[in-house]
Amino acid sequence: MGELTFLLGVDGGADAFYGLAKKFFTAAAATVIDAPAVGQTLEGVLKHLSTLKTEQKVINLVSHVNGFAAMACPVTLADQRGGRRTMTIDDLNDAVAAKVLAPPSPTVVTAKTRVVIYGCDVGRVMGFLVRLSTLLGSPGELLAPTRQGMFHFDGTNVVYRQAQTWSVVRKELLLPAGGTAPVVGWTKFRETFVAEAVEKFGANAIGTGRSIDVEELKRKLMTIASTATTTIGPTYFLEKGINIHPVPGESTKDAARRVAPRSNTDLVTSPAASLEAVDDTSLVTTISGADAFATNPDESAFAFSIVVLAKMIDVPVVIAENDGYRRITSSPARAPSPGPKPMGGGATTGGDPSGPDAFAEDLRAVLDELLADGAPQAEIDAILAAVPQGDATSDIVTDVPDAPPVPDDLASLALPPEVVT
Amino acid sequence: MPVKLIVAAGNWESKQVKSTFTVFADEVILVAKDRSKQIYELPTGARHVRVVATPKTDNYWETKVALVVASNGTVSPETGFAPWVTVTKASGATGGAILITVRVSRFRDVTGTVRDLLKVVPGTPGTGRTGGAPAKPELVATYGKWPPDDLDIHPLLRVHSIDVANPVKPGGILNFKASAVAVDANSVVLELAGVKAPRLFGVVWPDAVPRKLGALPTPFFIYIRQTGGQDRKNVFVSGGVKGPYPYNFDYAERCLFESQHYSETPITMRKGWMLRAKGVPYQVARSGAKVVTVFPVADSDDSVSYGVLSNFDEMGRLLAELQAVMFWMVGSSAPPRTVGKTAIAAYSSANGTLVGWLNSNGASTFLKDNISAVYFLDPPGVGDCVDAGLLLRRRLGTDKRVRLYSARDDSRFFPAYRRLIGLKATDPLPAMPFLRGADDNKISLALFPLSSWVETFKEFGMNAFAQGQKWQYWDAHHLVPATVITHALSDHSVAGRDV
Repeated sequence: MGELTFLLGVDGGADAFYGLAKKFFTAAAATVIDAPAVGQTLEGVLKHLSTLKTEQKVINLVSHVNGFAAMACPVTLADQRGGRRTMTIDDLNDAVAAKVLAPPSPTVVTAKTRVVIYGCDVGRVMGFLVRLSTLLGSPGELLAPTRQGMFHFDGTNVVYRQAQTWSVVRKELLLPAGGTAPVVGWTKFRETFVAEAVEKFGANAIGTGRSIDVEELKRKLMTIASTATTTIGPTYFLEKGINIHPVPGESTKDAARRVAPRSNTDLVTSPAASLEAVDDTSLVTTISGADAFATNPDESAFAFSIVVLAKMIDVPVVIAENDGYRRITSSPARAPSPGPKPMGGGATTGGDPSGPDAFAEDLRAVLDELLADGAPQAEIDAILAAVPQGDATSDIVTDVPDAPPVPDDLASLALPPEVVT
Repeated sequence: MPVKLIVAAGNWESKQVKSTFTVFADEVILVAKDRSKQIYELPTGARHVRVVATPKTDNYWETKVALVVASNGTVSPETGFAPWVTVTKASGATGGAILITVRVSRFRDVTGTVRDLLKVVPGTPGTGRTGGAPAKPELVATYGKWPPDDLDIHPLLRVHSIDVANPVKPGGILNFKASAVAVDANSVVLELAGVKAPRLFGVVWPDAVPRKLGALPTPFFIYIRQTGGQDRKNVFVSGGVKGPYPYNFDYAERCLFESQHYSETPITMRKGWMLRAKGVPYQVARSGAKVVTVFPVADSDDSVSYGVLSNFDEMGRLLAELQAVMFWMVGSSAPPRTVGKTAIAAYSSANGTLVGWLNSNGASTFLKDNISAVYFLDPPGVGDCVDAGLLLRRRLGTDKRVRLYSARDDSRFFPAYRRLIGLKATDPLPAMPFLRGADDNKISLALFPLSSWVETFKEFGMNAFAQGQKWQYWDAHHLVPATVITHALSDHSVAGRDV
């Protein structure tokens, strides 16, 4: 039986996310369930599952995510009809508490079922995953990305990739209405953005107490930004926002201002180990009502702007607990999944099981287990702190230019005058 | 839940060194439970654990550590292994995890190996080696016995040291005084991994430079002997030398032992021609400087020569790594995070090497922050050394010390001598021999030509020519580095010590 894939939204404008996803999963022989024209809801997914009679091994949920733990899929049809376009952790909390959704049959979603979210970084917020898992009937595993994700046509196949990202909360929209470039132009915008990003992430890097060179970070981000526009490619800019929901009688401004602080990830407890690790996964970005800004002179419209600089990680994504995915389980862990294999070659493979992050992942699993067994957090932290970080070979110099010629005026070349007669 | 053994490897800075691991429990190899083969389960009742960390890079050496498991399950390093491994544990209700962090280093101790190289002198016993390379009789005559029992710097009863306050006496005689010298130090040889050169580093670490928690950054003195290409023609080719760089007799004896030892005292008649002991540790001890002396051994291929030391920032990293491993060797697990002031001396052809380094490392942090002094010991290219030294001070401040000691009384070098000590082109140089300080003694110039050495030896009852030795410039050339380091590292009036 193939995998069951739900597309939770539909493309609009130039966005081809869901269309490419459909090609990706169709090529992998998955059963793809399109979203209704107005978009899918969690209730709609559960309703579809309720029609099934057999155990599902893998259920894929494909969705845009706003970067602050909100999937582009309202919880209920009523929410959707009420204008909601997203599903936040608060919405899931309410749904769990109110028991508004009937869980799927335990013979369909079982301890052997794996639910995989394809899209962006909703996996950074553990609470979101726990509640979503509950509403989905507590499948054996639920895996969600911790990095931004995309479907990308590589010339032969559609492939699934993730991106390393750096987010900066700004008070100006990336593009003016109807525009294709920032008001100040791409060159000036890139400089400004990188300066802001270096100030934000560089401070974090220094705070780690490690030898992370802020100038090097600046050079790196400038290089990445130098070719980035809003067109999805090897590097790109993306703008994310937060929906503002005025209650009756409330102004948009007031509704924006009362947006409670929310973060794009759980508290980060391990400092970035190296310059390479300084990104959105190692630094919490928080926004609140104070970050909203008026988008027109009469302040009748407000918005939030989180501009993301992204660099595609052009390697197959391994669907397992790793640098790019987070896993929660309600049953004994299963072996890492290679993800669906598109027919026609290319794309997703299992990757190197002993790759650079394998140890970190396996260590984390051991420590999670130990934590569950009652080990004090301080002892867990001590082990994490004692694990060598970074790369001791990164600064080593082994290749140097040839030494210059040596002059002839040398003692060892001179034979003793007692011998030279 | 079984107790998990987690193994990892890091360097002295706790930076990761990716490695493969072999883990034994009571001498039985354990099977890893994870993909990266770093997580194991400790068998119930195991009493001993051994871990072999083999770095995946050529730049670090393998480390083996042994640990003991107490009856209550506590895992701790066996005696002598503590600095090379740390243990961190976490305990749950039914199980636990023990992280074993193995320290790996870019250096390893090869003192015994190098000592053993000295046991067999190349060539046919009873016959000399060609080109003036020292055969066993000359080695015995020079050092009193051969082979040496060890590489220690043994006390000497009568060592002539230059009087740093009054180096010249009337009559053009250099002012030496003899006394006993005990170099209270640990002498080892370390091998650097993964480089063409230098592979070997002799290290003489005085007891007066503490290796303990809270120690200050270590001050270093690097002695760069002459480049080795010249040795190939007259030394290395003779007597059937065996073994490539750096493991053969001549690298061990000529390029290291000779720099570290004296033939009783520097003011003594040479026993042959090529063997010219420099006794650097004795000079350092006599100077009173509390400094660790490092003797890199270059490849005799002059295009390789001193290899990675040409990058000053890498030199700084290597000294920090060396400092760490020397701390670990005495059981101290917390070396300083940085190294202290560093002086570099180059002898003969190596002065060209040092000048090249100074001119190509202008942006080096280690040069700016740590290298406090450069000593040019009888350089062939006097002008280049003077210019490089003065440029160093102009770029990085006048606290940088530049000291040049020469035996070359050829007038074509006089303009450079004048530039160094701030004389006008028309000013006469002091009468030779002389030692002059300039700029608050942060600059020194000594000119000790052959004639001054001949007269000095006569004062001590040695007339070279009467004793059948036809002394020439080269004799003075070797006597300079064998004596003047005492002055360079001494406590200079106004300037104080360089390191």
